Amino acid sequence: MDPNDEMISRRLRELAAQAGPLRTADLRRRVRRRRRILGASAVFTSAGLTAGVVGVASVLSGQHPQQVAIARAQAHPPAYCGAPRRLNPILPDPQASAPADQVVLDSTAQAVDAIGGGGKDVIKGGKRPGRFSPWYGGVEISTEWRMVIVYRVPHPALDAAICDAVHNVTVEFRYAVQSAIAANRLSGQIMTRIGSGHQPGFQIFSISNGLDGRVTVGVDHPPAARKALARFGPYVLVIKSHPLVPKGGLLGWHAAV
Amino acid sequence: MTDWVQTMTELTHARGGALKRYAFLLCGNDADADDLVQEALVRAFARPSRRGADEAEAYIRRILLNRFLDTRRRQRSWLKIRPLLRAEDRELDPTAALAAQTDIRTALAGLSPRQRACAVLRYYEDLTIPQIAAALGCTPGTVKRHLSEAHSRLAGALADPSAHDSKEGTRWTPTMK
Repeated sequence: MDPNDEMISRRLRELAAQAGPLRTADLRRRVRRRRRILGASAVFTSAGLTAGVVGVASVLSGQHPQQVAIARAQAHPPAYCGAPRRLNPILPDPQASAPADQVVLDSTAQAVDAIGGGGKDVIKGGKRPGRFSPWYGGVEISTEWRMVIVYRVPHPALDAAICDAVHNVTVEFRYAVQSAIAANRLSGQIMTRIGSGHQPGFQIFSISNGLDGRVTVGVDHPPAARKALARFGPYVLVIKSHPLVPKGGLLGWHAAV
Repeated sequence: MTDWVQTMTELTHARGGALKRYAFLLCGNDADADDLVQEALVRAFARPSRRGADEAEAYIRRILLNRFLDTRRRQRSWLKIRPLLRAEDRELDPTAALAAQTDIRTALAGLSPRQRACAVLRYYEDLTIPQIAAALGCTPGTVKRHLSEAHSRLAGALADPSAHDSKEGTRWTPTMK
């Protein structure tokens, strides 16, 4: 054995002998308190997981979470404001280069988006969240019926703010299960935790957010994916899809069938 | 008295001193060693288990080592700037005994946390290199590297100058130039 080893060993033992006695005065109380905290957090975690995965409503009603979500959407019929609703659709004019009133509808949609979504893209990384962002889902244009369709989680103040701003176009309010921000967060969680790569039993090809707050996930084996994605709640819609392949040039991507 | 209270009481009575000494060598001061052992005991007994005192000791030693390495990793950024913010608390004692003791403390303090853990496990706990590797969750090669660096630093810092001089037979003297 190296003499230095012996010397280091000896010096360490000498140093260790300098340690004082172990204080155990408060130890039992600390362990008891930690046990209580761990016990309480285990109860809360299991309750939260049950409520999050299955959904409180589905637990109470005994229905599948997606059936509960659809029933909730049906329970909120669309509301209208602004210009009176048209009784007949506007037929496209074959001579016109663009649908009628597209400019008006576009500016109205931008105004609605500014109220609900938080204004212009003035900051890096997207829009600054506005007052109504927690309820706002998105807006789309219907040139056929000359109206803008607003998706939102029902909130009287948001409806009133949009109705105050729009007068010359019909506004239809549709029910959204969650806001655009929440949907983005949900799709981000799916991408982070499940990823877009190959999973055991299925492969994800696409993830997209709907204006109604649902996140649509395109996979090759929906039953396996539904099972794996059930923990993300009832607003994830799993559909059968195909791998996306480039069209070439600037034409984008399309599903390979 | 519940099971865990009984096991913990037995353990602290029988092996509390050994655990404290082990933690003291890792931390380098008494207060930190006390905190480390207490935290390890709290963590070990906070979850229900049926470990006996022997199993519990091995488990606590493992927690102790992991907590020490985690704490040092978290403190790394603070330790870098600490000398800029305050003076060192420790003062060198003029007496020879305390100077010798300070030597080993200073030498240990100069090692990285992993080197220090390797040195304590090898030279104090008398573990083999594979056992240290298992305890630290790294390869035996890494342990050998840490041990080699720790050994050279400790040997360099703790070597007795007089013994060194007598072995060499020559004594370095300053020149007058």
